[in-house]
Amino acid sequence: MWTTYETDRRGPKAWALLSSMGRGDGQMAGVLSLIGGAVIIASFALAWLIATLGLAGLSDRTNLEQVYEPPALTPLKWLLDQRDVRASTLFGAPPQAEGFHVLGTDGAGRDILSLLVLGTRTYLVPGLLAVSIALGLGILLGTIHGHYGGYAAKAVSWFVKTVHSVPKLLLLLVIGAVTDFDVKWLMFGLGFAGAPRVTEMVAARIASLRRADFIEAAREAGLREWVIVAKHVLWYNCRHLLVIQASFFMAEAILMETTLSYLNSGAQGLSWGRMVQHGSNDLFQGIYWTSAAPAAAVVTTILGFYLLGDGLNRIQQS
Amino acid sequence: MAGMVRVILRLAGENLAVFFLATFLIFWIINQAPGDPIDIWHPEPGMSAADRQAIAQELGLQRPLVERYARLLWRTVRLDLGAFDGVPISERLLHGIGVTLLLALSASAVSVAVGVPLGVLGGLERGGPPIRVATMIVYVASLLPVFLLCYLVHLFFLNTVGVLPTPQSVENRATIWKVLTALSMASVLGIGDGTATEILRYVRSEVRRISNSQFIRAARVNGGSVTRHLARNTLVPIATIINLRMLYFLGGAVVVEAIFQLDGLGWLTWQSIDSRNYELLFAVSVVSVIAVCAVNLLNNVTIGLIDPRVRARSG
Repeated sequence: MWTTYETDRRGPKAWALLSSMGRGDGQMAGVLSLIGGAVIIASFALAWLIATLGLAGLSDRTNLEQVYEPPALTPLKWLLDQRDVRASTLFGAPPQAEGFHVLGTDGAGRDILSLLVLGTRTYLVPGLLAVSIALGLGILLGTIHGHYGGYAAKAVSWFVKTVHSVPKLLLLLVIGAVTDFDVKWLMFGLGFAGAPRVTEMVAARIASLRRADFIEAAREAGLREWVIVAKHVLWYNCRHLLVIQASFFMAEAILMETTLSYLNSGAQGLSWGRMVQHGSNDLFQGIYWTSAAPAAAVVTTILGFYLLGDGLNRIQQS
Repeated sequence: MAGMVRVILRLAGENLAVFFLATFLIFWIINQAPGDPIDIWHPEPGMSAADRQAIAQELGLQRPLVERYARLLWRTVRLDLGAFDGVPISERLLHGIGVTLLLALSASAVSVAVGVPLGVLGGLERGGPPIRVATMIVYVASLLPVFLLCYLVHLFFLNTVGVLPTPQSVENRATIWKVLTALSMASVLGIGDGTATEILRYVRSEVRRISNSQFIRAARVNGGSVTRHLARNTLVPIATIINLRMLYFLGGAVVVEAIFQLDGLGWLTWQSIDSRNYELLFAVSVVSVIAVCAVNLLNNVTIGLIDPRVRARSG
C-alpha cells in the first residue's frame, strides 16, 4: 500500500521489551502493568484536578526568604516540622508560610511540589488535544483510504508520505518558531504529525475486514454503508487498537512538550521540562532537588502511559 | 534490466514529489509567522504607503505563494542565501551537515558496539548476571527522554571534572575528557534514541533462532565456524536498521546538539529560531527533508529490487 517508515515506535516497543524481560505470564503481566499505569495516571489526573480547582494552598508565588530550601523528606524532620504546622493543608502549609516543603524550594523560594502539581495543567488538556486530533484525522483519512479506493485513497497516501518525510521534531520546531512555542499549536502539530500512523492502522484494518463474512452479512441485511463502517468496523473492531494508540500517543505528547520546553528555556509559563532546565543550572552549586523532582515527574508520567498502553495490549493479545 | 530502471525512476519521481510537498508545507507554515517582513527588513519609522509598496515589490512579497516558494527553494539549492552572524549561510550549512553526519555515524557505531555483543551473549545465554544487568540498563536508557539522559551526563561531568561536557568547555582539559565528551554525545544519541535497543533485540532473537537451527548443528558437527554463519545472517539487517535510524538521528541531534552546544544542523535550527531567521530555518528544513527522502529512496530501491512483487507491479 505504502512504505512504512517505522516512525516513532520506539517508546512502546522499548517498554514492551522491558516488561517482557520479566518473563511473566502475559495476562498477569498485562494486569499488573495496567494497574501500575492506571495508578500513575490517576495521580496525574488528581494533581491536575487539584491544580485546576485551586485546592490545597498551592502557589507559584516567590518567597525570597526560602530560597533553595532542601527537601524535607526525612521522617524525623517531617515529624519535627509537623509540630510547627498547625494549619497544615494537603501539602503542608502554604509555601509562603514558614511551613515545610516536601520537595524543597527553588531559586525563587517557590515550593517545588506546588509547581509540579500546577505544571500538570500544561500537559493534560493539550495532550488530550493532540490525541484527539491524531485519532480524529487518522480515523477519517483511514476510512477514506480503506473504504473508498481511487483518487481519494491516492490523495490520502500522498498525505501520509508527505507528513512522514518531515522529521517530527523539526515540524514542531517550525511551528514553534512561528507561534512562539504556544503549547496549543504545538499539540495541534503533534496531532497532525501523528495522524498518519492511525491512518495506516485503520486503513489496514478496514482493508482486511472488507471481505469478512459478517460484513457481507450486514450488507445483505441492508445496513447502510456508514453504519457498517462506523459500527461494525470502527467501533467493534478498531476500538481497542485506538485506545492503546491513544495511551502511547499521550506519552509521546508529554515527552515532546517536555523536550521542547526544556530546550526552549526562554519562553514563559510553567512546565516540567523548563523546571528541569532551570534546575540544571543549580547543579553547579550542588543543589539537585530543583531539577531531580521535575525530571522524576516526567519519567513517571510517561512510564504511566506506556504501562497503561502495554497492559491493554497484553490483555488484548492474551 | 529495463524493469529495474523503471522501478528506480518511478521511486525517484515519487520521492521528488514528496520532497516538494513537504518543503512547501514547511514554507507555508513559516509564512504564517506573525509580523510584516517589511517591518523586519526596514525598521525605519514614518514610511508612506507607496514606500512600503515599493519595498514589497522589491522583496517579491506580492508574488503568489508558490512562486516565492520556488524562488527561495532555488536559492537554497544553489546555496545562495546571504550571511548569518557574519558567516555565509552556505558555509554554516555545509559545516553543520558534516558535524551532524559525524554525530550520527558515531552514534551508529556506539549502538553497534553496544547492541551486537550484548545481543550475541544474550542470545547464546552466556555471560550471566553482568550481561543481563547491562541489557537492562540499555533498555531503561532507551526509555528515558533524550534530554534527561543529557542531564544525567551533565550531572556526571559536574561531579567529576566540574565542567559541562561541551566542546568549548573541555577544550583545555585532558584528552580523556574530550574523548568522554564525544563518547557521551554519541551514546546519548545512539542508546537514548533506541537504536542500540533495536539492534540488540534483533541480534538476540536472530542468534537464538540460528543457534538452534539445523545448519548450525551441522556446522558444529563438522567443526566449522559458527561465527561466520551468524555474521552472514545478521550483517545486512543491521545495516538496514542503521539506515532507517538515520532519520531518528536527525530529530535526536536537535536535542543533543542544543544541550551539548555542538554546531551541527540541530544547533543551527535553534539559532535560526532564536534569531527569527526564517530563511535559515527553511534551508535547514530542506536539508533534513532531502536526507529523509534520500534514505527512503535508498530503502525503497533496495526493497524494490529484491521483492519481485514490487517490480512486477510497476513493470
